[in-house]
Amino acid sequence: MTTPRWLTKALGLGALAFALAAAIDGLWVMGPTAEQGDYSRLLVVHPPVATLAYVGFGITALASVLYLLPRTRRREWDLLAGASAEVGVVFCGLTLVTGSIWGRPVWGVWWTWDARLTAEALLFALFLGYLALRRVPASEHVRARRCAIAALIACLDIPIDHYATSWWQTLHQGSSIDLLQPDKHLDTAHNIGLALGFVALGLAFAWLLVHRYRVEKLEARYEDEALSLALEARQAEGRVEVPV
Amino acid sequence: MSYVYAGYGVTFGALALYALRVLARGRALRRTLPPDER
Repeated sequence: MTTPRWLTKALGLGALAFALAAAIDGLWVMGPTAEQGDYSRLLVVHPPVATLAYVGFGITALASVLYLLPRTRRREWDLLAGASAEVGVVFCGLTLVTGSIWGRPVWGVWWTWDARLTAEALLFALFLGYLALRRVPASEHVRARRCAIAALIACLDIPIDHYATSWWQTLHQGSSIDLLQPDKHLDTAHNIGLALGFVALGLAFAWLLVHRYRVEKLEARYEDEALSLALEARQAEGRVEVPV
Repeated sequence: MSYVYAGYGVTFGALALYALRVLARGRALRRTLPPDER
């Protein structure tokens, strides 16, 4: 699994260009709404980072399943799962922070233990635990297998988090757009802002995932070589020099 | 508007810092490879 350099460069440049466009649109072009005033401008960043956190954890779950199935088992799936989980944790952390920044002026509190916020915080903690588990020393296969199982358990929180606003009464609002409910929509300016945010942060996510995966592969190779060197040194210690 | 600026600043700032960290880790690890494989 490799990506050509021109593609990663295009992803990076695209992310920068769209991030600039999204920031200009969100901060200066898009107007305030009647319900939330200027705070509705946070729509450009908050829903995209939340969705991309799900995407990151979803990729981790998919790669974990592919690792657990004997027919598709390859070390690359485990490495992809680890890389995607770390990028997902960054986006999940940003979801909590930007949500808190949005909540303070609109709800009057930085934090409240409502179902959506609690499920999101739990998701963040579960995947932090997953990343910690990846650092626990073990043989390559044992570590990969237990991490894959842990990732699948952690992913059970994703639907709970997503549907929390429908299943329980929460301070957090429900989704702003529902394709199945035509009355639930945004005006054109906010739709454009949201789309720009999704494209900019989506490209940034893809760029980060590609680079983080390369780092994961290099780390795995470094670990393998360090282990072989340690084994060689240990064997050399055990050799007895026989005088001729 | 200060909350809005903070939201944008935190998002793009944190992602930029994380991107730099990932690149730095990659560069440090590539230095351990033989010169023809870098």
